[in-house]
Amino acid sequence: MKVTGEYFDGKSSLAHPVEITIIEDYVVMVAGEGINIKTTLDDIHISSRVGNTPRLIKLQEDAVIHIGDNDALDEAISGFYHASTRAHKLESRRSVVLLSIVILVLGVVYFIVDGSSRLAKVVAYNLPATVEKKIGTEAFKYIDEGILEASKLKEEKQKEISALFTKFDGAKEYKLHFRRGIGINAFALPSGDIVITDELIEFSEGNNDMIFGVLAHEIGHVKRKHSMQMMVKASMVGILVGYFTGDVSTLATTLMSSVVQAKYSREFEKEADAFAKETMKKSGVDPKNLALFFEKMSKKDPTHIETGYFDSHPANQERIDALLAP
Amino acid sequence: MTGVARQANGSAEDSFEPLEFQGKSKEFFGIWIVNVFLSIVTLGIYSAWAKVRTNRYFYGNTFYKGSSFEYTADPIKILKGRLLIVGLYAIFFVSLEILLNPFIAGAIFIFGLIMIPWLINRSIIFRLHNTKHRNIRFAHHAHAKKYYGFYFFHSILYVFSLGFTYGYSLNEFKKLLYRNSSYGSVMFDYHGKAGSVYWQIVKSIGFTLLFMIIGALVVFILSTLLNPLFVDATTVDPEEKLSSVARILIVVGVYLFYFFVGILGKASYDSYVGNYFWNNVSLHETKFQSTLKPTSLAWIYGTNVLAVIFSIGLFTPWARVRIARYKCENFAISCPDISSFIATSQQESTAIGEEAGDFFDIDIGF
Repeated sequence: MKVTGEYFDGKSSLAHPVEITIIEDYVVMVAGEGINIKTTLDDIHISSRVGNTPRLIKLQEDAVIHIGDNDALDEAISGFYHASTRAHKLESRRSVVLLSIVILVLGVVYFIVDGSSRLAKVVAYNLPATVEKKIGTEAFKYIDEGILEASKLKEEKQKEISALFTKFDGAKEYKLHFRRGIGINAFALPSGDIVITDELIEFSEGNNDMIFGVLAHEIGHVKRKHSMQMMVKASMVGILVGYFTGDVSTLATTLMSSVVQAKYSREFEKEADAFAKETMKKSGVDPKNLALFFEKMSKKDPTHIETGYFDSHPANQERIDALLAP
Repeated sequence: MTGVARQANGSAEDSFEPLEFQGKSKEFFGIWIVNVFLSIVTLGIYSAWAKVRTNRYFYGNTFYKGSSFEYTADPIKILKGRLLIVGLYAIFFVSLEILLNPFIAGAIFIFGLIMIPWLINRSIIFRLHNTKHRNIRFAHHAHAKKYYGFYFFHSILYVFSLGFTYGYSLNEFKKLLYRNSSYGSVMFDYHGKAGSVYWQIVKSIGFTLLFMIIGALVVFILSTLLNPLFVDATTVDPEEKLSSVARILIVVGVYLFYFFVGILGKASYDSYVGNYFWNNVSLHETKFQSTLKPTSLAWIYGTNVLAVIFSIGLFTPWARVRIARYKCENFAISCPDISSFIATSQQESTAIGEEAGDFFDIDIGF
């Protein structure tokens, strides 16, 4: 078998057209104008194949032969020389490529739909408390300086609401802040900072059990590490998307993580409701008060119900029913 | 493209011949997907091999005067570099975020900061050393000392001038880069002027602004025309004049705006500034000519990003081949005698520098 190529001696950029002959006793002959090399297959190295890029036969002393015709070369050396072609075989086999696509796409879809939530949960529950504290405190400072306004609530009323807190187990872990400026709202941060707005307190029309329910719901979010899970998940999905798109993708990351969070929140709301219900029962408060709050909210504006700053899902009948169930 | 006199550094005898890119997106797709798959399965170990295969594919498909380029890096070296950087980063992250030990984290941070010029230097040496054409190596000869001097001086300058010396520093960096690089025994030269670099930057900002203004006008006209469609008559609260559809459109619009600005900015910078650099590089009698167009590049970048996003990444190989082809078509070299370059003695280089450059996303760009 004869293969043609270009010989470069490694000392100058001059190309010598050569013809390579492989004789059955492993002898390799390289012949061209002014070139006449005789060597054996043991003394040369043939580069692995990448796509259809030119292959290199490395001879002694930095000399190299560029071979353009990959198939001719592979045919010429088959049976004599084992040039590493494992990766190329995988890359060029249609079944392997299709299988890789299917597995990767399924893997990515599974990761986004379910895997990332599971992983996020494990990570969130195992993060040291100091991390939560730090993140929550930072987030609270950011929101407090940027969006929230000081409360105009009377001091007695504030004390009265704060007193509700003593009913909780481990109330010391939480700190209640009175603010206004974001409508009827309450939210809790991983650091245990809980914010309740004047508007929400007015809205409750003196029903402290209702406020207790709302606070229990927000504490449920903290206890179940919901915002930590969301953060962990958003960053994991972000890393994944970034990996695939090669970092062009703040847009993609944001879109993806918001899509993901839409479903997340609904499940978290249920968990927080369940926690609130249990806590209310334990403290001798009827869970129907929280259901009442949701009903009242839905009557106020059927399209925009905000039960917390970070969750924007309407309290639907299902949730109300769950609270009312014995 | 041959026999035409162009540019300030061109003369009548220059015959520019563009690079030819022979890569095919379908073929590269196979390489890419196997790379991604094996990298995930091996928890990143294979990524070093993946990088070598990818670079070998792109270098090997880039031809000048019938000969392709060659990427000779050893994946093991790349892996070692990668592991070192990941290890340092992990210690930094754990000590700062989990152990809350600012001393270890601070020490690593300062260590990393001190290492940056060295890393950039090593990565340039590594990349050039591992590039061959016609079996002759490229090389970079500047010692890390020069890079320390450069970064020390220019970062102080940058801070005190509030960033206005950026163009000057960039031009000085190109001098440092090219005047210490060689192909075989021949040194590169760079004769760009800081003033012209500023002018290219101004042009690219102007280009971006022009399209931003056009975009803003289009949005303004459209929103005025379409406004009645989106005002929600049923809203009780007078502060909520916009319907939820309009709100979503605004959010999408803001993202699109950032997207366009980003694409236009990058495309105009890469073309105006990038062309200028290459058009002022020479290798003895060899001259280079880069003719990227901001509009074409913006179109390619923009459609690439969209294609990649909407194909959940599967169009990445297509996008990369497309960029490579466009860049090769617009990169021409005039070399009077390709056969007369002579090799020099060759030395090994470590991969740590280049890997760190990848990891921390320092775009060095040769």
